[in-house]
Amino acid sequence: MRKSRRIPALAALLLAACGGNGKSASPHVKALVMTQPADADNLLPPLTTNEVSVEVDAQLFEKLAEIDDSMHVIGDHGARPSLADSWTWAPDSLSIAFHLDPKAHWHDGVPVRATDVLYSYRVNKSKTVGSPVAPLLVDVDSVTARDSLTPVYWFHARSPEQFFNAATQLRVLPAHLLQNTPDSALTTSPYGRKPIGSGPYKFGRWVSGSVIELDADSTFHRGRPKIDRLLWSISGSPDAAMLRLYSGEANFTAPLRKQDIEQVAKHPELKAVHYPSMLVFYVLFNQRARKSHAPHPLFGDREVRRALSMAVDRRRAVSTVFDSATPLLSGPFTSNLATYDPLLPRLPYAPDSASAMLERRGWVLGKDGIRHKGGVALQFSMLVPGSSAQRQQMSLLLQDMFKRVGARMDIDHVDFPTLLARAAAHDYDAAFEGMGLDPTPSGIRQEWSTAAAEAGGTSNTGYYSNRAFDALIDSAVATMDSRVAIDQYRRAYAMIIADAPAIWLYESSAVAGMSTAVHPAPMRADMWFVHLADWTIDDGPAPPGATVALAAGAH
Amino acid sequence: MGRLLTGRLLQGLAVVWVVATLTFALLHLAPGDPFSYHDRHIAPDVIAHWRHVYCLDQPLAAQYMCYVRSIASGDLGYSISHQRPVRDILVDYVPRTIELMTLGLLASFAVGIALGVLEARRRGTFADWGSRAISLFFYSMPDFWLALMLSLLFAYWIPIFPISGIEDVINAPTFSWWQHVVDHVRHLILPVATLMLLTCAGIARFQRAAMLDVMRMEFVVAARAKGASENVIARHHVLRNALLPIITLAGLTLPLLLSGAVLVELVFAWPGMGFVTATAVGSRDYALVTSSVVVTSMLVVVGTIAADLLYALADPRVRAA
Repeated sequence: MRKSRRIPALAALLLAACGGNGKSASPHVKALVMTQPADADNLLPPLTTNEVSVEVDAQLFEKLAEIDDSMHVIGDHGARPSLADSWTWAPDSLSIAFHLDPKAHWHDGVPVRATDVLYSYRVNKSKTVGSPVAPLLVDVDSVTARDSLTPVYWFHARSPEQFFNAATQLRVLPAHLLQNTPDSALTTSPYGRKPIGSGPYKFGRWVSGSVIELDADSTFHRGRPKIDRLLWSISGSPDAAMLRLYSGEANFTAPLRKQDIEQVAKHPELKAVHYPSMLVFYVLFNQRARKSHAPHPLFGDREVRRALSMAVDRRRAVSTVFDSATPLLSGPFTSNLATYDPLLPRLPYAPDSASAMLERRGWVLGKDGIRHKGGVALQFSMLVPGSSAQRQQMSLLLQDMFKRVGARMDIDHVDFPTLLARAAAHDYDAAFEGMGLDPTPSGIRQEWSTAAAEAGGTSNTGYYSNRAFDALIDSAVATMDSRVAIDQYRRAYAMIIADAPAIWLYESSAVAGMSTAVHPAPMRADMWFVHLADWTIDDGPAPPGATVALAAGAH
Repeated sequence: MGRLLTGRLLQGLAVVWVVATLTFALLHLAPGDPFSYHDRHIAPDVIAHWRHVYCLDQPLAAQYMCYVRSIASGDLGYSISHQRPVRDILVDYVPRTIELMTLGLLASFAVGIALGVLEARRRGTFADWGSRAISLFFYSMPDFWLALMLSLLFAYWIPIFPISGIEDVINAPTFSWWQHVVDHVRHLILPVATLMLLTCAGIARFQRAAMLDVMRMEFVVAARAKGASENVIARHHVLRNALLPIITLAGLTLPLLLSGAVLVELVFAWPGMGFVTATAVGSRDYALVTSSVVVTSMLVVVGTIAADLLYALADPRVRAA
């Protein structure tokens, strides 16, 4: 008797397990399922350090204002209201009063008030918290409340980016929920796992390592988001993420790798969407000898750096590894910036001239095919992250190009943390670096100024130093006239290109993979996810052959 | 029995300590630390402050003492890559690995023993040869490759099981408890099947050899002479005696399954210890990696002790010894 009861129960469970194709419907819910390799770390904005956390926080929390899609960061030109529906500059530009939208409220129903802005400013400045936003607030002297709806930012000095730094970087936090928690206890606060924000989406649930779910806030002060639910489905690896996309368990992932773009093209129910990015890739020269302050025997010489730059056929290298549409990098800035000039002079590909330059500097070609000077071979090693197949492929091409002018490059494959650690310790000759830039042209100062080199740490690890370049950037940063500032930036760009502290290779062209039913709003170069509330998903049934259809009634 | 248990526990503690120390040393030999990954725009003094808070600015010996002190006091530290206490992370992830491993172990033994019995009883036949060939085929496969092949198979050609995760992320919040159970079982099938296919061949071969050894014994001949049927002989006389060595095998299979679970969890996005440890290694999250390894080695030690005790309970000769 016992056996006869158990067998049907087990059979029923197995039948149920096999049935349904895994796509039982949740009717009338439009869900965007974004599959990402890594889980979020902490959803309290000043503590977030990884990409998924930033994407989630962008939906949960608001800033006072947002920059426009052209990423104009000088003054408030093109800035869009967010928590603040307007703002007033003081006549001397040393303070800005923000007028909060009176309809803005936290997801627990409490209205957003000036005290929330004051609290957020204080927490982001706290050294105990260590917010990544803190360095951007150095020009802010204090924040006060004129009334419950008007926080006022007071500045030490005027600067073209003061509005950008004050209004568009800091996410406003609910003081009524957090002000009783000491700063040192914020890292372990339950709020970081179950936050309450004021953004277009409110927190649903977070299952560690599995999923983060946000639901549309139908009472959002700037209108209800068009997609009902956002889900970050954690996949552990890029391969698993792609399988989820192909199998229909997710309908969005970004960015795609080169091999993924080719696969997505074979799936009629999926599409690849190109979007701008702020990622740049270059070979950085260490201008000081390893772990010392003496000039590097090779890269301490500007002419050697220029010759090696001219030995590289960047177009061929980039076209071979990617495609001919991938934009070449001109310098430590992207073509998205308003300060960019397509007519900036670049070092040409000229291997014969490169050889002649090396000859003039005393580097004589030996029988072994390598140049030597005073017993020193023109030989160096380059750090390449083992996790990047593209950078590994390209480093092989570079190796061959250097060999043609009598330079030998050894490739040193390392994992990503090792690359960063060795760069910070200045324990390298050259490094194949990739960097995400921020939209501010002044960001160049953090990576390439003499002050950054002297401060140590992970900025300007190649020790590039040119006082004239520093002066031009400092002038541009301090100039309120945007036309003058742009001119000064462009002169500084020409200077750093000529100095060749790196071989500028390519800008990353980012591609997202998504269901054809998903229709993205413009994807901004620095944050593709900033307009997620405006994305839409088709109402209708899935297209023929589709395995992905997470829209209402079709899932 | 008490001495056996005490001895095994002391050995286990020593093993865990050695593993923890080796992991600490190996992690610190690699260049970089948890803050190597952090945004370059964070001010150096802020990073220096964090390094001080987590003892990372101390000499290696001092860091080790810091680590030992915190482990001894039950504080497993703070995970920098997850921005939360390691204890909380383990509470989330360890049960999922135990669940996957236990089901993998049970499935491996159930299928392995069944195959071993079949092969022994049909020795020399096509069924014996075929069963051994198929199980050897899976046994010789790399674990990640088998997992990937199963994923592809069920993603494209037979889309009846979900290929990753622990739940239907869209519909789970609306499920009844019964739907939750079914959904969870569906997500378990592929990872458990992978672990089962990887290990059951070894168990089957072991079981087959043990069965053949017992079949040659005199009491089996005597039972057959008394007129007992082959089914009764196999079930009541041969299998019971041939199961004893399999208990030892359970203790040996446990570490194998745990190491296999790391890759299986990654391929099937099963958020368990392997999943979290692999990502923590990449981000040099010292506290999380060392705690994960300590917990994993403890699981292996406990599993091995349990197998020893079970063997002692099953075989009076071991108890007497």
